[in-house]
Amino acid sequence: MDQLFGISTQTLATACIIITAIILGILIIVALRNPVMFKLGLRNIPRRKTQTALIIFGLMLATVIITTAFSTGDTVSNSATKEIYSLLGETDEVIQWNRDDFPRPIDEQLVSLEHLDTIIASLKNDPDIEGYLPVLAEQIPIRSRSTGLNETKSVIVSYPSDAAKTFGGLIDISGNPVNLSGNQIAINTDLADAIDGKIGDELDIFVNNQAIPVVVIAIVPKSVLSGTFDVSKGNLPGGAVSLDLLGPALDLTGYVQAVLVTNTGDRYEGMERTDVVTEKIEAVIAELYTEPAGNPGEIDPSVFIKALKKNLSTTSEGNALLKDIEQAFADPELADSQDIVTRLENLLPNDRSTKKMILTIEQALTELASSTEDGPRPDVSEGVSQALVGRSSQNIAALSKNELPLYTVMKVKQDSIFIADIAASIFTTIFLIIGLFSIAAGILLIFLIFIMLTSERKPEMGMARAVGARRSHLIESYLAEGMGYDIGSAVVGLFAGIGVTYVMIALLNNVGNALPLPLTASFSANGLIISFCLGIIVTFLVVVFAAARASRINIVAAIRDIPEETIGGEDAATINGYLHSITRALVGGGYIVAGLLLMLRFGPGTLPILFLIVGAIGVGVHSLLSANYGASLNERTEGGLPKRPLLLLPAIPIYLISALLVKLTRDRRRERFPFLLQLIAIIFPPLGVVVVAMTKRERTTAWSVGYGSIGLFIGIILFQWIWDTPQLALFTTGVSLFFLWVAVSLRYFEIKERITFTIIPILLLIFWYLTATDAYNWIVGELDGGPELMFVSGLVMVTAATMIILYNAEIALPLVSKLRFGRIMPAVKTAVAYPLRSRLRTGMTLMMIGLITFALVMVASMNTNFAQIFLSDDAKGGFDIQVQGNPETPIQDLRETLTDAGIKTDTIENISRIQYAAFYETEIKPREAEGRFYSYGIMGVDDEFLQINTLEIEQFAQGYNSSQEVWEALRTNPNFAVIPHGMTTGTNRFADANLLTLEPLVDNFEPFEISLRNKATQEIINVTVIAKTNTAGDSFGVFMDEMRASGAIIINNTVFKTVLPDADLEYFYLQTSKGIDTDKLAKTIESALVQVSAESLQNLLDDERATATGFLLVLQGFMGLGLIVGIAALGVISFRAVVERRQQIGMLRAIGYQRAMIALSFLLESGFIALVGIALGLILGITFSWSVIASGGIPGTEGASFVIPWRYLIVIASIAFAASLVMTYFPARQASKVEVAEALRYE
Amino acid sequence: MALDENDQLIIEAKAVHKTYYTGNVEVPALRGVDLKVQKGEMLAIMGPSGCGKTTLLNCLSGLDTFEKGTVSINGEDITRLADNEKTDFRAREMGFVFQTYNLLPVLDAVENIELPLIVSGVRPSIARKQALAALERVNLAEYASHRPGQLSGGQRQRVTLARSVVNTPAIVWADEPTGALDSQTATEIMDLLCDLNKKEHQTQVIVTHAPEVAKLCDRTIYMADGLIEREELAEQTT
Repeated sequence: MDQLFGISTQTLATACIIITAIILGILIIVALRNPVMFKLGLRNIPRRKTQTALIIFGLMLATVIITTAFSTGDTVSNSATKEIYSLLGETDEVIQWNRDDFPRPIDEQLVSLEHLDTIIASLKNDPDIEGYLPVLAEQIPIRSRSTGLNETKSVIVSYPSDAAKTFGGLIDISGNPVNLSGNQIAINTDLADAIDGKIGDELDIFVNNQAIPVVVIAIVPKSVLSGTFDVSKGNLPGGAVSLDLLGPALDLTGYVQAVLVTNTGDRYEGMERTDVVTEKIEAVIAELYTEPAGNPGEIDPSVFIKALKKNLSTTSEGNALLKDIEQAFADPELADSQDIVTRLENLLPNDRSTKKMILTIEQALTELASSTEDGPRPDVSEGVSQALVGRSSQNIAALSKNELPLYTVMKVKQDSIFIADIAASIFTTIFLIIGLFSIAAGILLIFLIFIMLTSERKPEMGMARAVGARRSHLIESYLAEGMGYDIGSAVVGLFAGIGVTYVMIALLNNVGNALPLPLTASFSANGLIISFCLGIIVTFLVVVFAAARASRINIVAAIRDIPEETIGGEDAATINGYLHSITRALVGGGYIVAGLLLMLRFGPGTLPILFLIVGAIGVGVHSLLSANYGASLNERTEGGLPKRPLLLLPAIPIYLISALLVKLTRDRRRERFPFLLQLIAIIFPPLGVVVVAMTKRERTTAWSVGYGSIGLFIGIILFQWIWDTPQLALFTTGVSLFFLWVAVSLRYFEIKERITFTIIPILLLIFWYLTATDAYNWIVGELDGGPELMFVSGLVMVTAATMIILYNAEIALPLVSKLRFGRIMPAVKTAVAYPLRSRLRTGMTLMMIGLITFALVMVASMNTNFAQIFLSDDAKGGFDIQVQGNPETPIQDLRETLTDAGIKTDTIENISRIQYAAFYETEIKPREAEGRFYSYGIMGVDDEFLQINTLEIEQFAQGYNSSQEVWEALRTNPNFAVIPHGMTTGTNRFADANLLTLEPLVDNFEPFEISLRNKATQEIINVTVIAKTNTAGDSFGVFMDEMRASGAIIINNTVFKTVLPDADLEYFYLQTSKGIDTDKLAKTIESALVQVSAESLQNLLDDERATATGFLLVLQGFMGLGLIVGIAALGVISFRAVVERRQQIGMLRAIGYQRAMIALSFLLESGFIALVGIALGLILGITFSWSVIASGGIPGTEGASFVIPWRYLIVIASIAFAASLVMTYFPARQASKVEVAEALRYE
Repeated sequence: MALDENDQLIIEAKAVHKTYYTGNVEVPALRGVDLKVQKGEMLAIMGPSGCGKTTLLNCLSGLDTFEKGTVSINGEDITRLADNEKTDFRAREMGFVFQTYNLLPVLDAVENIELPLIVSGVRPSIARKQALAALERVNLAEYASHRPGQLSGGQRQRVTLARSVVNTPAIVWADEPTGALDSQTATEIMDLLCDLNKKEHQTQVIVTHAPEVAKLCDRTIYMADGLIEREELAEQTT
């Protein structure tokens, strides 16, 4: 994987190494400058081994999650790359028919060997090209005589074996070379699986409706040399036969489907020359065909004669007909084209290609007759000449009038590797975004652990401060300890992450059909470096923050281990104090944040640079103000500029400016500044720094107000950002930060905390629920939402809900007292009381569990609802079996054919016939619309289908009120059409811009016309849209589309045949009697009729669901890591609580609490937190996904009903709850074993 | 108070031995203590630090175990009781007051006081009434909803006192009940204890360093090196 979020992983790795090096550098300097405090910190690590183990476990989780996310991406990338190299082998490029400029049926997209010779001659002795391999490749049905099994879609290839040697040659699965001759076949492993094939088996391959017997002489791995061209698909049955066998059977003398090119160098090095080679070959192709050849309007009848001679020259009747055809072309206006067509139909076999040729001759004669009356008609003859070209006429030269190249050079290997890399990057992004929940939970856990550590060490810290240690010393000591854990846990986490990756990959390989290729766990140096360093960086930041917070202690309170009193300064709740706090926070780092954000938003410019410079000076001033250097004259005990900040601020000029500022202002301290000056100081950064430098050191600062204001500033920038980057995440984050600012400001002005932290979070929740609707469109217009929204929404909503719970739980307490719990009442009482009183701990744990549950519920809920919407049983349209016919061997009457094959058809109630044109074969656009044509799948349905299908209509045109009315109208008026749901929402698998997307329809819309154009003949037919199906219509069409790209427009098959006579995919949809095993029946049909493939629609539907579910399960497994974080937090809290409450446990035991009651109390306490956290995640997850689905905000979900995956949610909730109880069991047991007398004595 | 009236005997300890083990070091805390306490008696245990006062209190009240000897409370040999039986016995018959109060910081005053009742299975509404009554007895009715952190040391100790008597126990064990208090508050607390002793006829065993506390008791025993060195009746203490 080379890129992530659009940034090269190499760059990311380098940045990570630099930051980690800086962190380690800081540590080394701290250790050298103050070895005592450093050692003091480090010595704490081995003091309590269990605790240390727990801390390392907690800290490593962030590294584990990041490592797993990266490694999964690397694995996907490497496995895909490996698969590509293995499939393509030495092949680097493929020369193919230029189908973009010259669209035509797939079996007529050929490369002339004559042209290949020209290319080879032109590039003879080219140092970059090693060889060429012309390949015949045909998708044909195969039946095994030995096993009776068949496979309808095998790609059989053939090529000259000498030339193939340059491409590595055909090698069997044991590594032995395979030489094919006569009627021998080598089958690839997928085909062998499909037909249970073994060496020596006899097979029939069906070419042009003729069964050719072959014998299997080898089983070979999948590769281009054994029929695998499409590297994006998982199942690719194929095989290779000798050129002598396939060439004559296909009747393609002088033409091949593709030419493989291998570059100089091995399979890996060769790819580097792809661009050069492609350019060279393209130059030759262009050179060959720039000169016009032949008259554009001219049609050469000899091509038909030549093609027909083979079948007609054997009889006198045939010879007579040949002469008549020659005559007809010579004198078209006199010819009786109908007579010729009738005679041709009588004499020629009734296969598809012949029928097509007859149709082409008929068209040619008709058009030529009409063109000769009024002189040449180039437009008509151009279309006809295009139609004439192909396998039947083989008149490729006629096309060379065009200046466009006939062939394109596909950079198959390079493109495939590139796509694999994008896929890997998508995987990493998905895993990282999902992992963000766990990482967020991990950060909370790290923070929680350090809060616990500091509360445990409070008396020690108080003593250290009392005997002269500075705050910075405490921070340094903590940093030493924290980083000891950090580095240790990053190493452990890295290895654990590698282990987890193996588990994830095993899951991905085994659960459902999540991926089309087998994955082998692999790791890249960059991925591991980034994971390791990010683990260190994230933990470092949290440790610094926690240490800084912990070091702000009241010495006396710390020594006596009593609660800190909040000292309210005289500034409290005044406007002046508020402004002062904002200025301090801005100077203390806010300007740097602002500068970085401005630079990110607008690029480097004067304003961001000014902010960054002032910000750096501000930090310098702050740093110096807290030192002796910054003290006023009467407080200064020693002179001199401290060297410490030099380490933090390598920019010496900035440091000197800061020092000068402090020096000039330190004896000019002021109690307070006028309101206006404070206000200007906020707006004008340089003044802000001066004001802060001149402020009295003792003045207390409400930091939360300052941070809140910085949040507001960031919010405003984000809000502004959406005008040119319409991202919902920017808008929602911006507004959420605004709410944060309001909350901290209200608290500052002494509005009751409960009111503030209840109302604001409620408003925030309402805001978030409404983001799913279009409620804000009038302010910000339409915004785009990405997967990152899930994380932002989860974080903000869970935080808001946690606040509401914490600040209002006391109201619920009396209710708990009123409930009857019988004998366990005492345990319940303490179990509920403790968590509600330790807000910070409980809040963080609630958030951790809530966040992860939210993510699990959201993913499960959205997945279930998408499956319900797009993969409901309605998608079967009332049918049970899909039978795909083979264009080479058309079936006139399926029931009759089945009866002939000995299958009882009395359980088949109805058979509908559907013709299908895939999106790449069609051209459509709304008739009134200007501009280009787009594509979309189209199905032509028969009367039977229109009478019995159960597809539901979602929106009707005026005059129609029921689905039945619509289908009946389509039956009686062939020019009507019904469009699928996805066409108005742009829902398609690849978000392909080539697929037609219409504006959303209104109910009772005005019927409108769309134009369908035949890509080959350019013939246009207009049809009138009278209805739109519901989402089931999208899935119904998807079953016919090999690429599973989109649904299909439904039209009457009479119109379909007129406009798309070449579209050759034909399906039969069977409705069976109730209680019939459709899977069994489908298999019976398939084994009886070799030319068809039949599948139970239920199976197709289930496969689609399994793929979605499989991937979901893997994702949830990954998210499960986050759940471990939450549960670990409960464990940490419980273990800590046992230590902290030892004396209280003793007292409870003294007054009559049994051991079991103590244990139960601990279990209930954790259970209570877990339960509330889980409930919080469940409620938020369900309601938010409901609001997303119900509002129809996501394309394709309009009007869908919401389903709650109860069973699944109960499983998630039960596992989480049970795991938290198991985790608490150990500390609970420990608590119950506390000896009373000892505990009461304990200090 | 007559000591030979066995039917009035509530606590009887015979040859109680208790040793602490710190690593390989054995520290004998009690070396064969014999003690009898009458119902309704207010007994003070005094002695220098480390003489075994608190250990004796813990062993007598069943909070701690000991190697040799027997302790009977109301004729029930508590050494024969299983842990759970001992706990129930404590909940029914005893109340405790500690120097460091040992209140649950997360519960308010009245909730702390009602805990022993709830443990004994009293209905919450009745427990609340009784707890409020007990709080009133210690003159803290208006502080019912204050948490320990919001109370002064003396107030906290009064809450502890209320908690120790709320279930009308036969015996109240007090370990340095005035140790953390100033002299005026200490007097208030002792007055309360004496008052309860007189009105409720509760037996009270008080470990203390303070002679002024001891002199309020019916009898004082003096300990040294894990043994009762001597005892004094109230009249003799002064």
